Order: sequence, then structure tokens, then C-alpha cells
Amino acid sequence: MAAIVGPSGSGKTSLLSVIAGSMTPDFGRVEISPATAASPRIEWIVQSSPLLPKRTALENVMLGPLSTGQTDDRSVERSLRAMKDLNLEPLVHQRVERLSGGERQRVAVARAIAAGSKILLADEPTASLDAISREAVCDALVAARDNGGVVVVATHDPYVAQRCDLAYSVESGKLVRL
Amino acid sequence: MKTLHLETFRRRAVIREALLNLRARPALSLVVFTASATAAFLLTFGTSLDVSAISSQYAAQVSSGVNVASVTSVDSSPLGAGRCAQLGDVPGVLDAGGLVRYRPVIIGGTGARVTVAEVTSGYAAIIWPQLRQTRGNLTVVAGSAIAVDQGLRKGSQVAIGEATNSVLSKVRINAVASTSQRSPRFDNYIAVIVPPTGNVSSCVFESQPGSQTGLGGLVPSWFPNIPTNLAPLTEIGTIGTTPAQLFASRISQAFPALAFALIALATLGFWVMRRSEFALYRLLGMPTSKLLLALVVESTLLIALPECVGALVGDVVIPRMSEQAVALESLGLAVAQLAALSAILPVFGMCVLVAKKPISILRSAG
Repeated sequence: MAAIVGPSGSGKTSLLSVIAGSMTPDFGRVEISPATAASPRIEWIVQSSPLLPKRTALENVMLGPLSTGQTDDRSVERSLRAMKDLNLEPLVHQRVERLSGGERQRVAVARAIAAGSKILLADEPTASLDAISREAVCDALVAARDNGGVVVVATHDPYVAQRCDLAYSVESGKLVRL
Repeated sequence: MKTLHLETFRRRAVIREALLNLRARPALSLVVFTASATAAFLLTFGTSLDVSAISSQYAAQVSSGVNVASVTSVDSSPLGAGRCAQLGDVPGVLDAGGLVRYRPVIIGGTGARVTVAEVTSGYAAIIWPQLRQTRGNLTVVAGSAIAVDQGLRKGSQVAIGEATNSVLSKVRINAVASTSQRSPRFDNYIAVIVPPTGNVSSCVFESQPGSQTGLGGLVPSWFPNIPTNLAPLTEIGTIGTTPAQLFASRISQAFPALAFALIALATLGFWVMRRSEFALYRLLGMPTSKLLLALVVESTLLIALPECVGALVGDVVIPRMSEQAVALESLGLAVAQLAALSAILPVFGMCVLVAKKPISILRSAG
């Protein structure tokens, strides 16, 4: 789990886009370890992760495994497990539109975990969240890492960077380990 | 290079998602459903009213003699009454009969001068279509106006003579006709039915709707060696007018397009309102073919089903329209046109929804 820190406009999001393959770098290359590349799905968590607001949290999390071709039963099973890991069990049947910002972010993380995505790119996942929600989202990202995922977080929140195993700074287009 | 084959949503999951998404928005789904049902209802209802109006208009024209034509010889020479009657057996001809002559007479007692028209039964049935069912029993028919003037009714006996001092002969009125729309002057006549033997001065025939064109070529040569003229019986008559021609210019032809516009507006509005929802599915790897499947499922429930309901309700609620084949064809064509137009909506919707990248849609949606 790595944090990429830096001021706004420094290129954090661009770096995530390069890792995701949606942007071609001017130079350099992205290498993904064979173990991670075996499950090539990349999940994005953004400041306001897209969810289906009229549907329940469980149905939203199920979109992850369903999008990988899993059956309904298997999707429910994986989704409930992911939600349990992120302490989302009480919200299983809540409509997403009734959830707080932090809870929504955790649902998005649960969706990524349930999908079996090995690479999780989070772009300012805690922006505009209160302290409790921020803590919960960080816990969710840590849980994703503990599930064997690679988590890269672009943030300017020192607390989030502190929760990561590694921290890098983008300075003048170069990645500097902190 | 290793090619990655990513798994994506199963077909069953796509269908389930489409159904759940509709269930999640019951009010909006109901609005679209109602719009589709209403459009189909109005289409059926409006087309039926329009077609019924045209049918009535056509029926009025038929009643007034639009399909009746008169054949006379060019040089005023008589035509064979039997040959004229045979014209009634030609396919496409409803009835035919001849006018033998007009005869002025005096009614005994009152001394009133009236006209007796000697006609064959086919002629009387054309002039007074309401008598067609009893044409075999007709002997003397009083026109509506003369019946009032002379106090004639069915069963009345009238003594008539050629002149004031001539021998009167008694005739029994066995039918009093209602007003003739086809030849109002006959309202003032007493028609005496004669057998189709001898000659007639003119021969009239009524064609079935849509048969005028073919008969127009046959009738002029119907009387051998006698050049004839063919003319409408009444001034309003125009030989060649068919129900198909009337329906071809009907206003309800535009109704399928209008109904479709209403449905398209409601459905596309519903989909565009949910574009971030579809963008999320695309972001999760749903291919356009599966997205189209989802739209087809929604269209089936929000368009096809209510269209059937609306059309059926429209068909039940409206007064039963004319059973003419062309009228039913018009309604069937209108419904088929709406169904065909509606079938392209999912494809059109998909084109709208994939026009922008999903990430752009989600960003703009906030």
C-alpha cells in the first residue's frame, strides 16, 4: 500500500492514470508483478466513487463480482464477505443514497475487493470526509491490502499517507520516496 | 504480447440488473410506462376516430350515389332492358336496372297531375337502396314527397288515368320510399315496377367500392353495337373514388410519428437522466452489446408492454369502427408503424449513452 503525496497539480492523478494504462507516459514504464498481473482488473476509487444511489449497498458491492462474470450466488457470497471485512454489515440493505460519504467510499472499496481486483487506485479517497469517515475509508483500504491487493493512494492528506506502507512524492514530474 | 480475455457481466445478470434498476425507480418507470400506454391508446383511439369519420364520410357518399353511374346511348336510341339487368350479374356490380319511360298521369278524385316512372326493380333498388331487400316484391312505389301530398301509404289504392276523361286504372301502392339522396326528383314520382323486357331509355348500375376502375372499361361496350355514354348519376358522384384513396389522405397517418415522439421523449429522457448509472456499468466493463440488452429489457417493459396495453384498451374503449378491410388495415398499419419505430429506441438510446466516455459522464455528474 503506497501513498503518492504532493500539492494539487503535481501530477498525482496523472501517475495513477499511467499505472491504470489510460495515459501513456512521456518516458519510463510501468511494471506489474506476475502475481498481480494474473488478475489484471484495476479498480479506481475516487473522491466521489460512482455508485447506483437508488440501489442497496449489497447490490452495489455485487456489481464488482458480477462484472467479472460471477454467478449471483457467488457474487452475494463474495460481497457479504467483503462487506463484513469493512464493517459494512449493518448497511447491507441500506440504499446508497442514504449513506454518508465515508460509507459510500467503503462500499466502493468493498465492490473492488469483492470483484477480486488486485490493483486498487485511490484518487483523493478521503477528500471532503470527516475524521471518522476518513478513518473508516483508510481501514477499508488497509483491508483491501490485507486481502492481497496492491493499493496506490494519491492524497494530500498526511494522515492517509501515514497509514500507508510506502510514501512517494511527485516533485517536478519525478517520483521521490519519502 | 499476451491477450487478456476479461470476464464481464453474464447475460442473466444484465437482465436482473435492468429489472432491479426499474424497480429502484418506480415513479419514473411508471411515468414512462404511462406515457407509452397513453401514446398507444391515443394512437389507436385517434386513428379509429379518424378512420370511422372517413368510413362515415364514404358511407354517406355511397348513400348519395357516388358509386352509381348512368349509361345512355350516344344517339338516344333505346337499350335492351334484359341486357341492362344482366349488368347486375357482373362481378363488382351491386345492382343494375333501367328506366323505361316517364308518364304524366292524373289521379282520380283529386285530379292531381303526377308523374309515373316505369322502371325495372333494379332501378328502383338503386334509387331507393332501402328497398333493395324487398325488390322482388315491388310493384308500385310512391316517392316520399308525393306520398305526403296525396296521403298515400303502403296499401293505398290509387286510380290513375292518362287524361281527365280517360279510363282510370287502379294501382295499389305496396311501398312508400323514404327521401332519395340519389335522385331527389323521384320523391315526387310514383314508380311502377316493370319486368326487364323490351327497352329502357337509360341503364343505371351501382358498383361495389373499389370496382369502378375496372367497370369503367367494361360498361361502355356492354351494349353491343350501341355507342354509349357513361356518367355519374348525381352531380356529387365521381367515378373512381375509392375508400383507399380517401384513407390515403387521412390526417391520422401522422399519429404513429406523434405517438413515437411522445414515447421517445419519455424513454430517452429517462435514460439520459440515468446516464451516470449506465456509465458506471461501462466503467465496470459492460460491453455495448450487454448495455443494449439492458435497454432492450427496459424497453420491453416500458414501451412494448404498455403499447400493447394502450392499444388493447383503445380498441376496447372506442366505439367499434367500421369493419371495412381498409379501415382495419389502417389501424393495423398504424400500430405496426409505432412498434417498428419503438424497436429502434434501444439502439438509439445506446448510441446516446455511449457517445461520451463513461469517466467524462461520471465527472460531469459529480
